[in-house]
Amino acid sequence: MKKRFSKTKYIPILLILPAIVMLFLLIIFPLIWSFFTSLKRMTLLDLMLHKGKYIGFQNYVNIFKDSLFWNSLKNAFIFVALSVIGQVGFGLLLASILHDKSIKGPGIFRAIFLIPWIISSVVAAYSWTYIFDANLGFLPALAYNNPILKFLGFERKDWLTNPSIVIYILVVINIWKGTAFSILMQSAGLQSIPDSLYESSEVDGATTLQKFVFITLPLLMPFILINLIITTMITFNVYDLILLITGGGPNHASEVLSLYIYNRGFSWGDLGYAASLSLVLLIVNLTVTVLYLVFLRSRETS
Amino acid sequence: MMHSKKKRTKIILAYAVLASWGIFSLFPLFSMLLIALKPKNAFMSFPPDYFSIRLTLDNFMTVLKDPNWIGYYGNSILIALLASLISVSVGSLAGFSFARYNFRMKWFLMVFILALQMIPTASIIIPFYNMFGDLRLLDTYTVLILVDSVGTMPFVIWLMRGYFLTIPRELEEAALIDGCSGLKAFWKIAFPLAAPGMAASVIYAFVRAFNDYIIARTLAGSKIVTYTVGLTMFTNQYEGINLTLISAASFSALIPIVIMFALFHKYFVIGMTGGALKG
Amino acid sequence: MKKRLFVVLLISLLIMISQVGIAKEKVVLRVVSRTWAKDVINWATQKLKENHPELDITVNYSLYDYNECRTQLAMRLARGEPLDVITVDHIWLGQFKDMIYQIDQKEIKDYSDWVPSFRSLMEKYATKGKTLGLYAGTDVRLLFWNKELMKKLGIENVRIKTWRDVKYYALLIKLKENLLPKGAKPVGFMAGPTEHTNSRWYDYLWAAGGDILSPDETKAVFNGEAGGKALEFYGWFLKHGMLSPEDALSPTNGAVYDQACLNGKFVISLGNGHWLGDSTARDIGMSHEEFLQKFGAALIPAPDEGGERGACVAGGYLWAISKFAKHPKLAEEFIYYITGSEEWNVEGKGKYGIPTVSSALPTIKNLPYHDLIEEALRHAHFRPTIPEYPKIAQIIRDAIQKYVMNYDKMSAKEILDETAEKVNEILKK
Repeated sequence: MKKRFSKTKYIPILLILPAIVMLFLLIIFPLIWSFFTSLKRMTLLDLMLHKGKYIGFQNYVNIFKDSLFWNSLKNAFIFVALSVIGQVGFGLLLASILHDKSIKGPGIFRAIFLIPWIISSVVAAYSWTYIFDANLGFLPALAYNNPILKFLGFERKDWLTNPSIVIYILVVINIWKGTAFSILMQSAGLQSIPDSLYESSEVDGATTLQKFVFITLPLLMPFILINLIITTMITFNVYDLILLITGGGPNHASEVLSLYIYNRGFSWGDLGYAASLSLVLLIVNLTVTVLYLVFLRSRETS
Repeated sequence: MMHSKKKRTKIILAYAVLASWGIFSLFPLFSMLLIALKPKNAFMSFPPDYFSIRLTLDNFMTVLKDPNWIGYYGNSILIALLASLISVSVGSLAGFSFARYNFRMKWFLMVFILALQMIPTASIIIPFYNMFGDLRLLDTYTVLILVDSVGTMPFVIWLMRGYFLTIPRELEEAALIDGCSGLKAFWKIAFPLAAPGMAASVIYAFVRAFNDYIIARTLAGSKIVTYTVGLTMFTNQYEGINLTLISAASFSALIPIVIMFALFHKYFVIGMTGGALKG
Repeated sequence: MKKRLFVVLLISLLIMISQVGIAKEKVVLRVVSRTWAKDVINWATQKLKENHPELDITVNYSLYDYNECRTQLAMRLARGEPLDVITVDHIWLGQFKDMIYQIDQKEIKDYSDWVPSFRSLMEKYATKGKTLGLYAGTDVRLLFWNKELMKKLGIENVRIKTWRDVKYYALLIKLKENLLPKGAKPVGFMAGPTEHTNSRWYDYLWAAGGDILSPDETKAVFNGEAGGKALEFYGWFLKHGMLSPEDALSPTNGAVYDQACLNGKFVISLGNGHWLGDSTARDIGMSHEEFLQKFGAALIPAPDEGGERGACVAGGYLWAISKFAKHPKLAEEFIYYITGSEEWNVEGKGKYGIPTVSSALPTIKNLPYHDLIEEALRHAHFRPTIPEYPKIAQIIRDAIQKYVMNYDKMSAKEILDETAEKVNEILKK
């Protein structure tokens, strides 16, 4: 049997080929172009006049002196770390509850929980803006005459304008949008755990918490890690939501790195600099992923 | 007695968590629907009149009678459908290969494909523009279908690989004994068994392509307008927002996709969770 | 019989040949513009066709929303696409100047017809008898107040000419704040993340006699005495609790601020576009009459010790010909139709703002406070037209936001000086 498979040596490559060709032409090739742009002093005007000059790694040197870059990197780490913890954490919690056999109608709940994920960022941005906006917002209006909400502090209007709050509000919105994906992944993990394991532990009189910590969590670890990796990768590149809600403001307080790239490239017109920033983001993202993978591998071998 | 009481509080707590997450999930939709049902002048007073029962369907009528809007919506569906079909057909071939065969660089290729997820869109927009400009494909269906299908492909490959791993290899081997070639085994045995996984991938890819905004507005947006780009056109020349109209348009855009999801989400969940992602 | 057949054949052959002879030359005019320009483009196309029956003209237009229009223009021009007619917002003009095919100044029809402020702008654009393009319409800023709310507080016959007047009325309102709807503020101004924040502050900068950059556009001067005064003027309202920073910083775009003004969130708004009573009001179902009844307006006030009352930013789109144009002469004619006075008398939507030609000014007689608009047009100021302007605007906007957030900790002068340094660094390069 084994022979049969190895004889058809070209088949595995043939099957992968269409995907590789498409990915190369439509992702890798533009990325290489982007790398060459990052070595140029190139603005929107230079682009039009075909005057981009090669300046070596000057753009990369400038990044380290750019306080807005460090600010956006800091914001990116806050945004990604909290979003990922929230999405995976809530995903795990909700998936565990839905997995419990004593819960009725898990399908309906799952369908409702998936809705934020199928809403486009544009629509999500409009609706959240008009929930939080200081002047026209639904939440401030709701809290005007409601003592309970007032007591809970919902009357405040600076949700999106207070520099020390705004990033956390965006995290909440991003958790709202992305948790569905984690719920699905964690449900998958939970289903892979055989029921017999729980049954035997129940005989031993284990509590829910004990069962979770000693059975569920270790077996779920690969799923959690993959979920962490994918969510981290995606979240580092989230910017349309923030662009449409706050534009990065006030005064850059909610400008994450991916949004800074967009603003630098398309609003300021610094295309070369934006290209070098995006490669830095790629490296940051790659580093975080490699750390995860090293962790994943070391667990698998142990 | 103690035991069952404890269990009951646990269940109540569980339902409370589910209900509050449900409310959280639906809250923006609710506020959007509320705005969409308000007459325009509800926003003439301060604070805006969110709570009186003055409701109207005018905004929905205006939006649904707008032939442009219907066209934008049709474009989005067409593009998302074709993009997801391409993504899943190409992606599941690769996924099958990763699941069934061992070859050099396999692990490297898999990680590499996953890593493509992290390339910032902003960095490849301008090269895209140049490439497709040279090919004279800007502002066409083709460009959006191609780019959208590639955007979801890495994840689809991983998803399908995971799904093929759950299908017992013995079935294909039996087919091979019967004299089928490897590819034929794929078509005859693995392919039909993988249907739920493919359905899940199609839905995933469809949702992503359907909701794309940045690509749709950069590489097209003049002759081929998708609904996300169309939404931003409910603003006037001074960037003024017609809030009630935008909300009605957003909400009406959601209804078909939510219905579709409600019908198919079972397969989606089965596909996603059945195959899952096995590292 | 045969002869007759031959004649018929000959005649039909002749007809065919003559048809080929006068077959119209095919011309495709490529236009990139904003979404709202569709109707006016169609109208001008019709005019062009009527005037050139000998040509078979197709106008191939691509229309985009605001931000996309700039990106698309840049990318298309970078690829050398033969665009004929392009629309360039004043804010990005600096970045596109070098891509424009300049029109002979002599050829500009009705030169005397231009509103004086725009005529001098056109002259500024002109080098060696050539100019960049023509404006079809513009926009101006005014100060508005909510008459209805003022009346409720017993304040009538409001007259605002100087900054002191604004402070006086703001104090009167503040004293009776408890009569206002909850959450309403005596005064509002915009410090959000868009260009509207800049342009509305510039109005006060100019009113105080300052400017953004030096006349040769090589040095920042907004940190001068006038700049400090203008920013302190904003600060005064924050310091006296007439406006909270979060209300000023309200995110998204100018539209949210404008809508809030209309619904009575701010009793006095220091600056809005003239469109507040027109398109913004229409969006929430308010008619011109209702607007006139509910809102008062004045020119942008000047400082107490004197200055330029009514000073305000004028924006608008320059209709120009790209340097890759295949049909510059035809494009020029097309632009004349769009920017000429005739267009303003044509029924149809898609006009941008208020006319830049005097002979078309009567067409805005139906706009609320059209007399003030005309007056403001005479005091129109313009933003710099250097390629670095979008960058500089972002830095100035940061400064305004920083001041609003730290009005009690930092002085306006301190922030502006720091900002001017950054701007000068960019200008040096």
